[in-house]
Amino acid sequence: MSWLSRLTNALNPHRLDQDLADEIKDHLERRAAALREKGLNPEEARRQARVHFGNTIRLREESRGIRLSTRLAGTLQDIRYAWRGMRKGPAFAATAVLSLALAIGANTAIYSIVDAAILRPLPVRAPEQLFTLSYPDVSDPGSPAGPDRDSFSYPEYLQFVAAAMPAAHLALFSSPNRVEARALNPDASVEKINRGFVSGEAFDLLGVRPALGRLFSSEEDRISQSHALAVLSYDFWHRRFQADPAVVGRNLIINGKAFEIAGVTQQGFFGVEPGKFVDVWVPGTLYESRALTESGWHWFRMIGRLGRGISPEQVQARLQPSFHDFRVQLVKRFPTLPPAIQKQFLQSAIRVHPASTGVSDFRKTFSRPLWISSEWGPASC
Amino acid sequence: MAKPNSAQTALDLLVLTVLGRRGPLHGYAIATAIEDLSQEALRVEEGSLYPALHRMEELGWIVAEWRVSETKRRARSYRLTSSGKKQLVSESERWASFSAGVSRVLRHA
Repeated sequence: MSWLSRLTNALNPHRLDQDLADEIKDHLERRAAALREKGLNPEEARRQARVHFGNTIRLREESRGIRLSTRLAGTLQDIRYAWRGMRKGPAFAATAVLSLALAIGANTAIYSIVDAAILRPLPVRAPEQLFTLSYPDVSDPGSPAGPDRDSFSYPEYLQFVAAAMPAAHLALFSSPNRVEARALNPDASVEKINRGFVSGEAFDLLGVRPALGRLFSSEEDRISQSHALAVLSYDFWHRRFQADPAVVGRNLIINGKAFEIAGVTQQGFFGVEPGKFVDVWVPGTLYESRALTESGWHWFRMIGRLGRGISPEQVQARLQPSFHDFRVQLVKRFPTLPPAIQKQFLQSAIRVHPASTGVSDFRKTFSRPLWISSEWGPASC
Repeated sequence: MAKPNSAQTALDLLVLTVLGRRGPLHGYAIATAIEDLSQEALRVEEGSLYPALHRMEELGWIVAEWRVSETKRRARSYRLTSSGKKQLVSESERWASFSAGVSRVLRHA
């Protein structure tokens, strides 16, 4: 296996160089000895032996090139030289290493974000069946359309849920906010947590299971509830409560209001917005009462699951009439809108997008509907 | 593969023949053997023997090992392998047909 010997020799060229030198030296000495026997003096014998042999250096190089991989040996020599140079100038080396480390770190971070936000599906049941809703924003006539809007109001949510059934189920998910929370005892410290609002059936729709206690049900969709419940995320439970099972039933004060902890979600579930980690979920109906009645107050996104054999187009067709109604109401509320804008409102259509990787603010590049996508073909069969 | 009439192959053939006839030898002994046998008609630059030996070693026709010589020096001694023996046979045949061809042309041209 000549390639193997060429490789080993390249890794340790000194041994090879020594061998080649020794072999040639042996030859020259024997030749010199033979010449001495013929009567030449040692000086002359040695000289003639050399001449007779030929160009020692060239021949040694030729043999060397045959017996080791010169490319590899050359590269290794360059590396050793670079290493010596770096040791002589450690400040320079440190700067270089730091720059490279920062660049590599930044790229890794970006890739992780891309992976989480765009590539990795949500850790829920059958994520390929999930969809989210959006609608085009109004734009100045003539200028290109901006990104879609994807937040809705509570009255819209109620109408859409009714319109979509039984072809699809819908749930609301708000983007998490930072709020103040503390435990019940008066001397507990206040800390900031991420709180998200969800509808009662949200966890059920996604297929998220409880790791402890129970999660929300349709009971949490009632406007006046007997007690306010909250659900913790697995990470938050571990971090803040040291995975204490006795946390169920304890109270949490969030922005001054008391919530009873009902349970903890399964490990790995962080919400539906990659990059944003929800600590506590609270029913959407416990948000401000005006937020539940004003159709102009948009404060959450909607995620739905397609029923068996239902296509996104069918869902869109079911929702469009209700969506149009709301647009008509909106135009009536603002009669001073220019006619071109009014037209835009009345002609806009709601859009249905796949949401297997969740929803995200930085995916507002979706200005075209992706409702006809290959990944939905098999799912709707 | 070198052309059949190149000096390189001729040298290979000579080395293989010498090793085949006289058993394991070191480089100097091979050089002197070729010189003696050809009655000094063939005298290549002695040193060019070594790249040839190393090349044939990489090809697997010969193997080498270090021996301590009578003068307490390290000497690298070469011997034929089985594939070297096969190579010797095919090279000899090729050389024989080549030289026969040359002779024929010289006689009848």
